[in-house]
Amino acid sequence: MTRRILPLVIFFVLMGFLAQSLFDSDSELPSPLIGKSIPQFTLQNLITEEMYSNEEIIGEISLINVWATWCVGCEIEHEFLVELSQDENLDIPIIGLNWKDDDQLAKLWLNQLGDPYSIVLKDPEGKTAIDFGVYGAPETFLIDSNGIIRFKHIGPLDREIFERDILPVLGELN
Amino acid sequence: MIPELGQIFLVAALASALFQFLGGISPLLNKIENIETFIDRVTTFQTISLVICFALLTTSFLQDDFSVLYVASNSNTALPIGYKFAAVWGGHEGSLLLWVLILSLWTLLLSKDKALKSSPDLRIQSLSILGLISLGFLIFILYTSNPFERLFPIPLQGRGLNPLLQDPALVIHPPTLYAGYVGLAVPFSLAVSSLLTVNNHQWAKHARSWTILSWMFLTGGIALGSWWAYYELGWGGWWFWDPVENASLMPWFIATALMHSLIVTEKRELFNGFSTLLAITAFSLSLLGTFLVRSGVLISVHSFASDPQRGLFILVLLAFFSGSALMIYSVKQKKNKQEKLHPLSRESLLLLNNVFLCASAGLVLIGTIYPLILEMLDLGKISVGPPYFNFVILFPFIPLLISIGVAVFSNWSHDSKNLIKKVSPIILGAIVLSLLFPLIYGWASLLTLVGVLLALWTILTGVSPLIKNQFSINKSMTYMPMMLGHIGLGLMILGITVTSSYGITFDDSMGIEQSSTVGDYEFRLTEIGKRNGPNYLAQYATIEISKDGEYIETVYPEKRVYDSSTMGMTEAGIEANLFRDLFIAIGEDIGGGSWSMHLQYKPLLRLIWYGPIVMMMGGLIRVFLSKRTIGSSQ
Amino acid sequence: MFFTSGISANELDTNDQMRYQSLIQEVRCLVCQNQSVAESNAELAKDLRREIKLQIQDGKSDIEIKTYLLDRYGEFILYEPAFTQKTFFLWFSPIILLLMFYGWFRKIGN
Repeated sequence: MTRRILPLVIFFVLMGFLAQSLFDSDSELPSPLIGKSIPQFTLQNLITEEMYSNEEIIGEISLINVWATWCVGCEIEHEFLVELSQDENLDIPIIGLNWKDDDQLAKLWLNQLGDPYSIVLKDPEGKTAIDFGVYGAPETFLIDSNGIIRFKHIGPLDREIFERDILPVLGELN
Repeated sequence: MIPELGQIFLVAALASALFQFLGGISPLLNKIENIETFIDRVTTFQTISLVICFALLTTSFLQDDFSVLYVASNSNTALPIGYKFAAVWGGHEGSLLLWVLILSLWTLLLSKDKALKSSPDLRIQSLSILGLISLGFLIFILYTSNPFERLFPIPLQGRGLNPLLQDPALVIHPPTLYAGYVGLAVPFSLAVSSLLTVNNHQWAKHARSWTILSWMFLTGGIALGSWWAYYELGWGGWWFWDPVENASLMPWFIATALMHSLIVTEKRELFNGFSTLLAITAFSLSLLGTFLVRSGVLISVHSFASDPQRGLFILVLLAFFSGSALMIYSVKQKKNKQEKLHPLSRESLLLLNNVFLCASAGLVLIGTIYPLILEMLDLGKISVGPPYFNFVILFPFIPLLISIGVAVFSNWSHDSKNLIKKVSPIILGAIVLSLLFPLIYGWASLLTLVGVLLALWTILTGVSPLIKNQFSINKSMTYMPMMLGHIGLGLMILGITVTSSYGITFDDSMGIEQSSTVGDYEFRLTEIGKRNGPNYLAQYATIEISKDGEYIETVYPEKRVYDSSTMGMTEAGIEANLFRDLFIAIGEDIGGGSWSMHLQYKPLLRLIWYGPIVMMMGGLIRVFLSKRTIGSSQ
Repeated sequence: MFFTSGISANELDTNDQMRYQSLIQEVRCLVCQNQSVAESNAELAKDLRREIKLQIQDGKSDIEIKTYLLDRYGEFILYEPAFTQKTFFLWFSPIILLLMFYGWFRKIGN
């Protein structure tokens, strides 16, 4: 009897998984860097052209935002980032990582659309972005005062996502 | 007007599919001749309606009627006319219409099968089941994927066809593959119909030719897809173990097993249950393939249209058809005829080979959906790709290839005597020939040698009936399908082994008048330029290939940017003969007048596609022979 | 897009070129649909190819390079899943399937 029922059982278990996968498939890739320190780097400031290391940017809870002028999603989230940077209740610095971009275009972008960043570091070759496990801009990391990555969001950030995903983590940190 | 007419015929097809289904279960038509006439008429009517539908959709494409949403999304005025035909099945809606059209054509052909007319119960029931399948898909089309849907406001220009699809091989690849997928509905319907009616091994005789025909289309479709991926996707790979490729490979393994199992069921009345289960599985895997391709649950290079809602509908259809078939199987299937098999008899070896084929299909299935299952169980995301599949497929395939050759020398019903004496000259021949390969190409690895040896063993055992009959084609005609099938398989395995072991891939930067050497071949870049195509702009390179200072050929690889898309397309330059392929693709401009170039030397690569062609010829001869014997017996 | 990163591998010797070719075929291009970084022209794929090439030139072993990628992108990036508890069934499936089907074969054969 089992031999007759077995194909049926296998089949319906498989159907169950496939049906489930239709509804909660998640295209975001979980980052293995959560809970780890931000990677080592030495990058140039886009505006002042000074060099910064990873040690120098940690010390307080902050956001690291990976962006570029060629990235469509970055344009979408930019207004919210500006809003966030002006929010005095939060007072959370946003560190920009300008990824594989053209300096002039990047400066022009910040002049025209507003500069939400406390500091913008540039990564023209994309080497540091690989160390951050970046695969598509925009990506936003939340780091604590010790430089540990606590949360990562992939894709454009908006108020809803910020309040839903990032605020609770911030609450825990404070 | 034309789209509305299309809608009407779509509904007409739906109605006839419904009647085709009801014809098989309706007690109203009590006289069997009446039912037969009725079912034959609605089957014909459904096919005609769908042909008209398809013609009307094609007309909309040819007229650039962008008031039709589907046309606007998959074509534009600049599209060359040939590709406007191909664009009809370039998207989801048209693909499905093609799917049901092909199903109705298979159904019509089945209804014309003279031999089947001798078993009216089986015939009516299976036509009815095919009607039900068609009904399911037509509801799906009308409900979620209507190709005739209007668009307002009417755009001035369409979005254009995906550049990847603008290719001659892609014009015939989907119809061929679909013909294979959908054709498996015929043995499925015969198997289920047999369970519901006569419930004996009779169906096997009728299902054989249909299985072989669909298997041929499936073989051709997969080979075409591989060939297309090789020259169009840009980097010279011919098999990626991509979910969409796997979706076509699984039914192929099972259809191959079914084809062989049916021989035993027909000749020896054995394994009826196994054949029935294979027939159900083969079509279920076709539907699963359709689901995987259309739903977008798995990310694939080949998935061009995907939508979860549509995925759900296909899943429901799959659950319904396969689920009911399996349920009918578990209730109705009688115990197999009991007979002790001799381990080296032909039926036993065929069964063993089928088990290896089923294991292969199972491995591909597990590898394809394993990431999905882990994700559903919240165990994270993993990728399962070529390194995994290339390794695990050896487990069923090495014993399969060994035993294929042995099976050729076996006899029905009893252990073959002197088996060792019969096969030893062939083994010796295969060993001697396989040693030539390290001499020609150099030593690669033990696995390479095993691969070559097994390929030659398969080829030589395939040729052996011809040798036994003193090379008389006439005398060995009945063996021809088996011979060609096995020789084709052997050639393909040989191509795969040699090209993967001895192929060279090289990335180099080249400036004008610079050259690069790959193996014995020298590639010289003489020119870089730009040219305009009908709907794209191309950057091309002129490359002269020579060997030992002797000029061979000039190729012109291109990088295209289509007007309708920002995506760049690589058109490789290929110089090929039976013994080797030389492949060159343009990479990127690295400044200073230099370009990165992707160069490949692939020995015996063509066998990977010639092998399947030989296999298909075997299938064709089998179908032809069976028609002739049926004709002569009447 | 705006950059032309010289990532041709002509500086690699034959053996390293072979390692490079096989490595880039095992690394998934995360922004592509389902392609390895060898097959893709996406910016990320180019960067990863360059990184892999540099690391080969630095004398890193295949395992070191794979660990480097795993640490940053997670298991999804490699086409060959590691043998762990959760891939146990995946890696043993050839043996399990063959045994299962062999049992079945014996049953039908009797």
